Amino acid sequence: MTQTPFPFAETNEVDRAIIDCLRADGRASNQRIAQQVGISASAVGARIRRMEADDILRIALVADFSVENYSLLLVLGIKTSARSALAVAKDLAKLKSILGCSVAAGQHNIEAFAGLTDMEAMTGFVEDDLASIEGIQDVSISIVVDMLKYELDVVPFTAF
Amino acid sequence: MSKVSLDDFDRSIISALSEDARISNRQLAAQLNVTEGTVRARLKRMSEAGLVRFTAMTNFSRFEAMRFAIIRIDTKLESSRSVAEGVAKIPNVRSVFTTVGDATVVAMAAVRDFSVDMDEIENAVIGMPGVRTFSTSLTLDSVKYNHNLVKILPTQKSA
Repeated sequence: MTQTPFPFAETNEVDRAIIDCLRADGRASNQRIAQQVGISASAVGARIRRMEADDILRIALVADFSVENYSLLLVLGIKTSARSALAVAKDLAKLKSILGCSVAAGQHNIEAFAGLTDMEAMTGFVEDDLASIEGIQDVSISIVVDMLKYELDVVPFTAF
Repeated sequence: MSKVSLDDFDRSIISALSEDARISNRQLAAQLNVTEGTVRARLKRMSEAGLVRFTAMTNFSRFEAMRFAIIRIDTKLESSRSVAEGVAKIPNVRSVFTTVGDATVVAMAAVRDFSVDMDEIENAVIGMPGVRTFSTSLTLDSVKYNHNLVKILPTQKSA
């Protein structure tokens, strides 16, 4: 499956082509990238260094969910009441099982993603962890069966 | 997913490189008190098993007005796979899952011009056979994000 093209205002076409190479292989050599992109290897190196210095780009090692033995992944949509969504989201963020959460608008006012090791962990997560957070009116849970595409490499750098 | 199991040493490699992936194998080997060859071999083994990969992350905060839309689609059960495959082809869709529970397909899309981008996605989804209903949330503020853990697809394992 080809990668989703990458739109980014502070970069030009060449920078974006470099980023796409690095998204596919973060350790691709400057020489290899140069061949694909059509500029010199040293120009590639300079552009990468500039983007890193400008906090636009970071080379990262990422690990598969299975490395943490997360065999159950959950997408959670939460409706809050009597408490601000931000306050509830901050409480959720303290839970280790919550891998990501955001305040949202639309169908839910918090969207979250959780990883659990097994069904036993699920019981604790639902009956203890979630139940202890004030302000959750409704939780919609979808359990991931299969992931066909995963290119969530645009991230808030404050998370680093 | 894979039958390769990780020991503490593998995990210390992952931990060090998750913090800063720019260090070379040689520097990492020095830090961990082993040979460069050992680090290289372990990384090769984990990459080939699809457990880790090197990639580039770009800074979401630098996009103006970029948000993520979470799309939940309820399909007939037998259509969830084909709908998910169709949704995966839509530009701006960054992740697609088949699920059970509230929805049978969940997707996340990067949107900038919300009404235009969502219009494109909604038009594509409405036309797909087997789609019953769908709904969207738009993320406003990210409170937590573990960028270190991802799904590494079989096509992304190193050769």
